Amino acid sequence: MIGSIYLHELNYWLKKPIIYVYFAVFFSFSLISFLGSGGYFDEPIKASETIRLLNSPHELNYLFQYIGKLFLFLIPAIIGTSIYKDFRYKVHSILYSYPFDKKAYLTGKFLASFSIVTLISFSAAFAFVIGEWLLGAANPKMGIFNGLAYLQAYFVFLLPNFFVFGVFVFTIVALSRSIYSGFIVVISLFLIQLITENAFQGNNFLIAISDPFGQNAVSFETQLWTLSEQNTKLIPFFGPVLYNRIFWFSTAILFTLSLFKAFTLSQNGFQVYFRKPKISQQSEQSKSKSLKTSQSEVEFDFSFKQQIKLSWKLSTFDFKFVVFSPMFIIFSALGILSVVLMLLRLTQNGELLMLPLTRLMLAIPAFFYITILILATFVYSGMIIHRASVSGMSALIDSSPINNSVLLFSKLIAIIRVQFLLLFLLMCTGIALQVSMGFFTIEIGQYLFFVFIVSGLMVIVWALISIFVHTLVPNLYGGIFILLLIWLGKSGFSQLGINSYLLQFNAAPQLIFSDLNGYGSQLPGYFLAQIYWLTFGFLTLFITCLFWKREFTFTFKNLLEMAKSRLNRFVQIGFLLFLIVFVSLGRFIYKAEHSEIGEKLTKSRISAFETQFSPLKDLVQPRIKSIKLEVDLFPETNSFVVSGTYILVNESENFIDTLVLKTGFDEITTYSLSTENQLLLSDSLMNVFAHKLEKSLAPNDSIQLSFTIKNESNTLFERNSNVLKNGTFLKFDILPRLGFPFQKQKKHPVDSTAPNNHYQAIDSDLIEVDVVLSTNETQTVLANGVLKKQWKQDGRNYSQYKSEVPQKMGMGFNSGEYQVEKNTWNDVKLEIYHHETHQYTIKNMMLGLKSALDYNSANFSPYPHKEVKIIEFPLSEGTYATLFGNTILTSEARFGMNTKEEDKIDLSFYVIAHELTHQWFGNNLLPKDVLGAVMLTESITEYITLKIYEQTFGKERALQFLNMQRLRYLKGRKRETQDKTPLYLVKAEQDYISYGKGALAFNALAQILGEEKLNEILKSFLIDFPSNETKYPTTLDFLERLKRETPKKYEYIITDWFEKSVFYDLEINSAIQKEMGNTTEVSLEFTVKKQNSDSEDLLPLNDVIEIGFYDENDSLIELKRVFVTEIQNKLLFSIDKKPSEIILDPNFLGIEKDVKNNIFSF
Amino acid sequence: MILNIENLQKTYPNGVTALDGISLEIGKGMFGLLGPNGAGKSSLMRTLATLQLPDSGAIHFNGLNVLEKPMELRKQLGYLPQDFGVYPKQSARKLLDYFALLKGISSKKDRNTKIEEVLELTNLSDVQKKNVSEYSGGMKQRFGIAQLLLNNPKLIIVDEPTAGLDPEERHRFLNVLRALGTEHIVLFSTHIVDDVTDLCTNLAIITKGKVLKSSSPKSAIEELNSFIWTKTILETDLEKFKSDFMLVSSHYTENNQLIIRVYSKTQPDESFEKAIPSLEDVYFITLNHSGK
Repeated sequence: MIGSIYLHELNYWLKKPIIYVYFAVFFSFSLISFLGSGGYFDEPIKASETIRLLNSPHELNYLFQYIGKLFLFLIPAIIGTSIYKDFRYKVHSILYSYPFDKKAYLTGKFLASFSIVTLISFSAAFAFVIGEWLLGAANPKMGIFNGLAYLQAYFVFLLPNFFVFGVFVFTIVALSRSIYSGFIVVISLFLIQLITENAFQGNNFLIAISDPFGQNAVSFETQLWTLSEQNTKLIPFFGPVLYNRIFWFSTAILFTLSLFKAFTLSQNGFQVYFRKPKISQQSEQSKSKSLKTSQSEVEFDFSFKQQIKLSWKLSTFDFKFVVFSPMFIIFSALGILSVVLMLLRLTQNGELLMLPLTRLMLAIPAFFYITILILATFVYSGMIIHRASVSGMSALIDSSPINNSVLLFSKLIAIIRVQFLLLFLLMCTGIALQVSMGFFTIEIGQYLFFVFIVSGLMVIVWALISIFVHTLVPNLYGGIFILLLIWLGKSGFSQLGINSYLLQFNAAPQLIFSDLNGYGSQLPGYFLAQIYWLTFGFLTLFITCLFWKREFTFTFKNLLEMAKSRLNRFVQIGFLLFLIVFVSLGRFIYKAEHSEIGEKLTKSRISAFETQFSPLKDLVQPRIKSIKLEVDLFPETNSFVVSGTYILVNESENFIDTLVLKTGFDEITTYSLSTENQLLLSDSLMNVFAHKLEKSLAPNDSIQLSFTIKNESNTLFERNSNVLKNGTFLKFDILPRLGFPFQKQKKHPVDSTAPNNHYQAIDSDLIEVDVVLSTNETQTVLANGVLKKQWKQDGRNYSQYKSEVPQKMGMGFNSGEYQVEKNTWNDVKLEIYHHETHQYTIKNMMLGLKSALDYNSANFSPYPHKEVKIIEFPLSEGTYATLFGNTILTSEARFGMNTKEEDKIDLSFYVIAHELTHQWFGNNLLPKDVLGAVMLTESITEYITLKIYEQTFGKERALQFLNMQRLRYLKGRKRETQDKTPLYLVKAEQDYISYGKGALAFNALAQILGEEKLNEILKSFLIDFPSNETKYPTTLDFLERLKRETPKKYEYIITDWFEKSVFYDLEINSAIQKEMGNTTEVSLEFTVKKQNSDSEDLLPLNDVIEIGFYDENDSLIELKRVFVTEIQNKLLFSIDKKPSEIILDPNFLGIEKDVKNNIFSF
Repeated sequence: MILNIENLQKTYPNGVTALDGISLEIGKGMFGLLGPNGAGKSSLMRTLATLQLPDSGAIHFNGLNVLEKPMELRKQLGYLPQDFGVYPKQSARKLLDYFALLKGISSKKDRNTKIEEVLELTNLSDVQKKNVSEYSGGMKQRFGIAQLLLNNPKLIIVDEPTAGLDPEERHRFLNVLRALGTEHIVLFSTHIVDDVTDLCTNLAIITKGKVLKSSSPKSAIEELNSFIWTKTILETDLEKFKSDFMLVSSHYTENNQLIIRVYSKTQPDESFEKAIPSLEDVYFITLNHSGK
């Protein structure tokens, strides 16, 4: 029986042309994506070590997961429909009278439609195989063809997913008898994934198992894979992946069983009532009255005003229909739940916590929620548009004296009301969460503006286009499919290199909110693009009106005639008006997008520049010795004028006759030199110029460079000036610099040809800086240095800052309405300039300053300045922090951290302590500009910060932080094929090594040598290599010093951590304890393995291993240190107190990928 | 009050001619449209209800050009299609409120008055809170009448309303229609001849898109007076009688004999008895023997 139902159903589907259309569309999409990722449409890629192979199992799995998301559409469209069509076409009343076994009926139908989905999904595999062939083996992104990878992607992930989701959809559609529920189930899967990710935060294993797509199980297995592992290894099946598959398969079985139980082969099916309906038992026959037919007179109103009202009233019917359906209630509850969990993770449960500020509520969670809302719009608009015809009521409605436009508007309004209800729920969720966390700074205006205006405009455009598509495409699935393609096309356009708001449907600039500066200058551009698309939406509305389905039409000609008959004066004029607005806005956008006249920077353009200037590359240049600046900031007009002079000194032993200058990229700079010269070469796109001096500059002679810099004005979409309405942070990158600025590769520390520059400037050493700044009368201007003078003139505020001691090149100019928090440490003034409401983390920051001053001045040298400033800058400028002289510039993000949870990292404290420590390692100690430089700044600073943190918050918090550094390092390795860079040669961009591994390395040293000893070494290094121009230190200098001071038996630690890339694998095999009077004897068996990261061979051991014994309160009883030479070890320990837990290497003396088996609990 | 239909023509893309020059003049009262399945009744009614455009022809209602101003007709129209559904899980009351809005009754009070009235008229007051999608066939048809009455229609078009109703329901339903017919034009189609006999003031018989006969039931029957003859025959002789006489209809008796009715100006032979003509005779003669 199943067989015949299966074949019948299969036959039905195979005869449908749309099946082949789906196949073709998915095939093309997959092929284009694959070829695009393989660089088929771009310039050829050069082979390099850091290439991610496109056809590796890992990458194929990723690509198939991505395409798999698109295939989800097929699940309701085919699997859901296979059961739904029986209800829709009322076949069920006949069909169900046959002597079917309902299990056979359901199973046959399900399996047939599942087979169809499977067949269509093979389009992607075909496309990829053809893609591999088209790209060819010569393509550097192509590895060897691996059939197993395809089998794995399909049989482990895609097909089981389709099966499980298919069961869900099939069950829900069969029981609710609504195909829309099927679509909502599919959208809800994304919500479920999000919910599990956030609900199980901190437990990656649970996240892995509970992800409906199985993606998180893959990440669980592969998160620490290096690029070379990603390029070669198959995804491990036995483990979380298998458990995940079993879990979801079992859930599907439960669904199937409940379907078999609840499904009835009857007319009315399964119904959900909010209230139990009262069935009136009273017989109608009892009443028989004489019929009176005289009809009472009521008023009929067809006035325009009434029509408007009517649109609203009618929309209520459709609105209620949607929002009171059980699926909608479940769906919105899931949406809210995912937002709540996401926010809880960000504010309470995660690693680094933020305060529930309104801007946070409206950032990532809102973005995700609104994306889901858009997808729901596609489904619910179809439901509302097709509602009358699906229920068979259209003839009744269409023969009533209601205007097409009124009906159409009522549908539009209904959809918008559904959207706005969902948006309103988002807002309420945010506010409720803020209140529940005792956070009462609720910016209702910000909520309303973002939720209903910024997002509202965007979703209304989707409502308009959805109505348009669903009206013109009478087939629901076709409509949803087309809408999905439009939605995907939005991002596809940018992949094809089309980045114009004119063409990217419903796209607008990304907005970032800052308490200091609001949405900044982005807002006009946003509204322009958004209103442009809204106008487009209204244009489609006119067309929708023309083709609104009312009269029966039988041919396309009929349809056109009908549309033509509706093309009345009102429609014509309205359409024309909107068209004029649309075209004018489009012109405006076009102009704004093309206002940046001039050449585009292309690869070939850059190489042309390099060829032209390469003879000047290594020319010795005079050094900048002092800088005088006048910086005038104009917040109202987002503009600035800077004028200044440099004193340049020839510090070399030779004459200099050519100067190479680079001016600010986005600015307009004019300059002059104090001696006669002529322009030798110039490139006004790269802003690099070479001048020949009439009279060569003799050694120790000086020359003066004077300049004026103005900003380019902002366009609607491009910000060219960093002057903001409030919270300006203008950086020194606007200033002219000397020398050829594009040095490609840093040299090795042993390379004697490396010029003696420090790591952050090629044109200067330490400089004297004198800056006069001005801004409008409501704002304060700030710069690094010491405030010398402050005055008012012509309604503007002026301040003069001077460097107390010469400083390295690096300065910022700030202007804003700040509140100032003042304090002192010994004689040093401490000031925090911040937005008035940002009081939350001030204390932590102040503590960070003091703790860093305490630690560093006690261990290394006194703090050289008389004041320290912290200045807040808006989120739109970044989320980082940096130190210029005596000033820490830090993002608004650090002012919104939640520091109340005691068991979490206090990042506000940490960042400030880190930045201030750079005064010693970064300002005071300036490493040479060669590989490994950041080890001497970032690694040491990160380590010292850890110690400062430990002093303030205790050992346990510090270890927690150290573990984060370990994961940062391990995860960072993902980016590179082989972890070949040793710490002492780290590049500036490899922060996972410099910060992550660096902190661990110095911590291990401190653990072995003792904190004091290590600090002594650091201090002596600091004294021997102060920042002076004679010789900047390299990591080799440091390692030499370090080795000199380290006992021979520990030297391997320096080699392993700093010069090689070594991994340990420790494991406790067994532990037995015996009480011996007052002490406990523990017999411990454990394995120690050590290998280089690029080899499987085990390295010989003569290594120190620490073993920690802990009591039931997790407090350390004793830390034992042993030397091991063998892989297998069995040792006896005598412990004073009975331990309940043993941890191998608790202080991270070595790096391990998996530390779970280092722990033994009794 | 008059509905003028002039020479309506409609051919579907599949070649079927649904309306083939239909002209009718319909006045106040019940007007029955008789015809077999596929005769073009529904096409005609949809066209009259402004849901479908004819290829050519004209429709005037009290001087109003319907094809040019469909919206004006819709204001005065009550239409019940042959097969209709309603939004699921909605009570009669709720749905009627929706239709009343569509039909232009703006005040809540007016809508309530009107809804009470039509519910009363169609005897649905007791079940007004029940979901219409769960109504029995007859109740659903009466609901259909209730909704069409909301705008005080002057022209009521009901397509095959009695199909599938049990005799009692059918009876009750026709009573409602008849009452309406006293003041409005009620155009209703059926293939059940009895529906028309008792109720209609006028009728038209159509097939293949053509009007074969249009008159009052009474005069149509009178035309056949003393032309209908009946005889009981053996089943095996039917073919012979068919070829010899103008056979109108035949039906079996309980003892498996056939009673036939034939049309003849004179008594065919003595074995035939004179019968009282019925509308059914008119219907069959018009359908099968027109033109002969």
